[in-house]
Amino acid sequence: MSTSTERLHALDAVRAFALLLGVVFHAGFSFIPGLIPGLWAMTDNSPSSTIGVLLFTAHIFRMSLFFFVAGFFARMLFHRGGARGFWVNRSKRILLPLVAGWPIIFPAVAAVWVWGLTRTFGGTLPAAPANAPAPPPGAFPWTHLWFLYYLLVLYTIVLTVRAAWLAIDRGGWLRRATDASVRWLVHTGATAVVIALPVALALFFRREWVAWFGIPTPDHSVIPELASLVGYGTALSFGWLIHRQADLLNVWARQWTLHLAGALAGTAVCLSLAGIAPVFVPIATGGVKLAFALAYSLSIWCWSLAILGLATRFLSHANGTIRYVADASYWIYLVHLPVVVALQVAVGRLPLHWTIKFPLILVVSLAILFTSYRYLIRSTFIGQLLNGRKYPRSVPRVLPQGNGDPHRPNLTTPEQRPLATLSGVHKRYGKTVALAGIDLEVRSGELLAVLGPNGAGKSTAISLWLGLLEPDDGKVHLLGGSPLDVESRRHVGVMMQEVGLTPELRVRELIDLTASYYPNPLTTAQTLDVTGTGPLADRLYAKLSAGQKRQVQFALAICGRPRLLFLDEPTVGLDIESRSTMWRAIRTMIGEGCSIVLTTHYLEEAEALANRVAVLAGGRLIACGSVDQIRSVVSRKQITCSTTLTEEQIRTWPDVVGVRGDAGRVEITVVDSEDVLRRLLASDQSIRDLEVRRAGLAEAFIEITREAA
Amino acid sequence: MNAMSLPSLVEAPCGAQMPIRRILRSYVNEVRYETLRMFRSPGFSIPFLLLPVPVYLFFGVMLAAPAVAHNPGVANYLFSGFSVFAVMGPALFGVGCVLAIEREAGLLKLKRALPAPGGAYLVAKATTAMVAAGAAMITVLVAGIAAGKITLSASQLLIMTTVLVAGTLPFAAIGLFIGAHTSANVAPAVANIVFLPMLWLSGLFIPLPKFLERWAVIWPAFHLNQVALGSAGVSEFSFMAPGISAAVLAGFTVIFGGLAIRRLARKG
Repeated sequence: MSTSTERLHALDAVRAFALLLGVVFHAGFSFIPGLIPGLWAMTDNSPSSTIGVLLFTAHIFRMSLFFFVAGFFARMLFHRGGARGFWVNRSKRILLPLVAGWPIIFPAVAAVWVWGLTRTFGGTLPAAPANAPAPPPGAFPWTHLWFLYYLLVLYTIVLTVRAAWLAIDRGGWLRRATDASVRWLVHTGATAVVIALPVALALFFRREWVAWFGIPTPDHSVIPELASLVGYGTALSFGWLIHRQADLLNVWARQWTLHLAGALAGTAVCLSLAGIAPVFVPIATGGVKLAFALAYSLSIWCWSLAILGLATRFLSHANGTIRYVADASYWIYLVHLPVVVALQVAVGRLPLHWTIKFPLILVVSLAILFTSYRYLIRSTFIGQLLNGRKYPRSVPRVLPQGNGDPHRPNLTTPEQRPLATLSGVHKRYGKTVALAGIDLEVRSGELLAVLGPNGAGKSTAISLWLGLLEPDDGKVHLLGGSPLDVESRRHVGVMMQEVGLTPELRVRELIDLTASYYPNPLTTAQTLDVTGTGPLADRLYAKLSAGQKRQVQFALAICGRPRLLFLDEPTVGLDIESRSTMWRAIRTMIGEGCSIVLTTHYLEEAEALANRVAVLAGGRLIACGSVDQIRSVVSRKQITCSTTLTEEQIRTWPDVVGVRGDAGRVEITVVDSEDVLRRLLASDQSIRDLEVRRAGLAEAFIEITREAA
Repeated sequence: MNAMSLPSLVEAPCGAQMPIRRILRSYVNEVRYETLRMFRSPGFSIPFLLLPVPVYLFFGVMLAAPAVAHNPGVANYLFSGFSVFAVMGPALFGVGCVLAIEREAGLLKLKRALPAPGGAYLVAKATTAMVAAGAAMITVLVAGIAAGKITLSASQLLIMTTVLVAGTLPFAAIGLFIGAHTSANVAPAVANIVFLPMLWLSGLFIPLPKFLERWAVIWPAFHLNQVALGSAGVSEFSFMAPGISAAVLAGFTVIFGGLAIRRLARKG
């Protein structure tokens, strides 16, 4: 009974596919070989059998597949909102688009047709035959919007049958029996054969059946066509039944090769019977008609089940692109016909091959239709009406984070508010997890050192803050906005780990160019001065040494007078003097209220500069705190001394973790230094050069990351 | 060295909006330094500035002399064709290969992280390509006039030159597309795979066999040639309305430029 959202993703994709296939079908119509002029708005001068076969195949199943999915979703809707909810919803999504859309679509289609026929017949519309029969009662030009009308008719029929069924089947045994037979049928793999029978019979007994076009398109009358009603009614009610036990979709997901083979074989049989070029006259009654009706109906269901199976198998997870296309497809199908046909008319007489014209029509019309959806529908009441939701026009600018977190002190002044945050951020590259749920913030005026072994996720974290990557999950804030927003980045400086600047430019020019991106930068002279790059000003970047290049990159990072500075391994390859110049500039900037995020491999650099240290390993934040706090994570100390005791003797003592000897001196790593010291002094009266040292950041770091691993 | 004498290294926390004047300035700077970069890297600029003239004089003037004697209009067609050749190179190779190199070096990534205005980099690339194409075009123009076979009026030549230089854009867009999708090593090869067949299959220099003629319309070079000839009123060699060809070129620019921008915005 249950339907997980995953199956809904797959069926959404199938519905979108069926609708977009309709666009392709109509876009190819003018290229069908042997098309009688006047039957369609344009008869292209470059007809194609390939398109003929393609359209024949697409047309076999596209509407049946659509009605199947419609039935599935109809039952879901009915059971969520009851009969009243169902009809209210359908009035908005189906009835209203039909009633409001038809008066707009029909004149547009008519106008395009008049234009096309005028061109087809060399400038004049052919006169209507004088003895044309009067239109039959109920005639109405639905155009391609007939499917909305049929949906409403079929909903009514299905709900009536359902009510009657419930009245008869009070004990529920009939429903249980039906479910059991459907389940058995699906598992046998013969679903397509059985479900095709009613369609096959309806087609065979139809008196004037233009077989090449399959189930008759009932677009010209309010009186329902029997064959269409049977064909699409079977699909819709079968969809309804399958929703009762939606796990059956998974069976089709396994049977897709079988169904695809059946579909290809059935289609081949149909084409061999009917011919590749379409026949526009009704098929004669006889053996061929029966064979064709059977093969065609079997193809309908083999194609449909193959596609449903494939979608369940491969498209069951949420996917932003598919979601977008699925949302857009309804609007696109509703309005595509005049657009597509107008393009056919426009190119129909050009001396170009169909391989150019057909893709051109498709690309241009889809571009127009998707653009119109993006700008006219998606974020407006029409989108709300068609898809039941209205998307915001753009991602809303995120306000500075509130203080909902009870574990954090209440931050009130802007100075204390974090400048940049990662909240619950996940990021993976393929199968590699780079960040697995990180919470990290940069506070005003601090230097946050991010440490971690290679591959820990440091650069990923910085790339997220700089807007170079987007998180798979979680939120990233930068200066109260999104990092994707240029405005946020206008107050951020950056020095990346590996970057090749334009080699043909001089240092002065590089600084001038970068500074011009910022609202209120230092002058070039000031930048050169602060970073000690003055002597390099007129040299080409290509001619600099590796260390000099790092200095220039640092100059570019600070030339915009940033409030937040990201430095990724800034001092790699620098000599001592350049490093101390950089350290001095960093300290000056912190003193003036700049916040800095620094990644480094040199732990003494973090120890010298950082207010806070965050240690990452394997994509997780494993420790975060002041340098002292991090150091104290490790309670170990190191004792060094010159002693006559051997390493082996000391190693056996309690609380000793490790011993290393070197030229008469030993280095003892201990958990509890006092006990070991007492024993050391007692055991060796001649002990000299005794020194006790608290573990440094380096030892702490090694300790922490080893534990994490 | 003494930071004390300097203004604050950190801007005031509020009120620093980017004025439009400064945004324009960053565009101008980007274009200026991109042009400078191009002229300082002779490896890319010299072949495309110096190659078209000898090629034109040899194939388009000397070897074509009998054809021109038979039909003087052919000289105009060849001038237009070789001019298309001259403007294509800087756009395809100059933009495509340099972009691929800069992407590989991580420069694009840095530009995305910096608050560089979104379009500045692309505008700079397109402008540089036009400047280079303009220079190459003028060498061919001078050579053509000097060879003395062209029968076009001065205003026709001016129109053609303008159209051809503006027509660099679709090729710059294709260059961007190549540069955005290939590595620095592969980009020149891909650019050549596009450039060389297009040169011949667009029918710029020699009449094509019938079965290939039908396919000339898929190449933007064919359309640029048609717009140049059509808008200068050289009806003898106009096979397609210049408006349609211009629309096709606009389509190429939008599609390839759009795909390249999309890729660059996401992956850098």
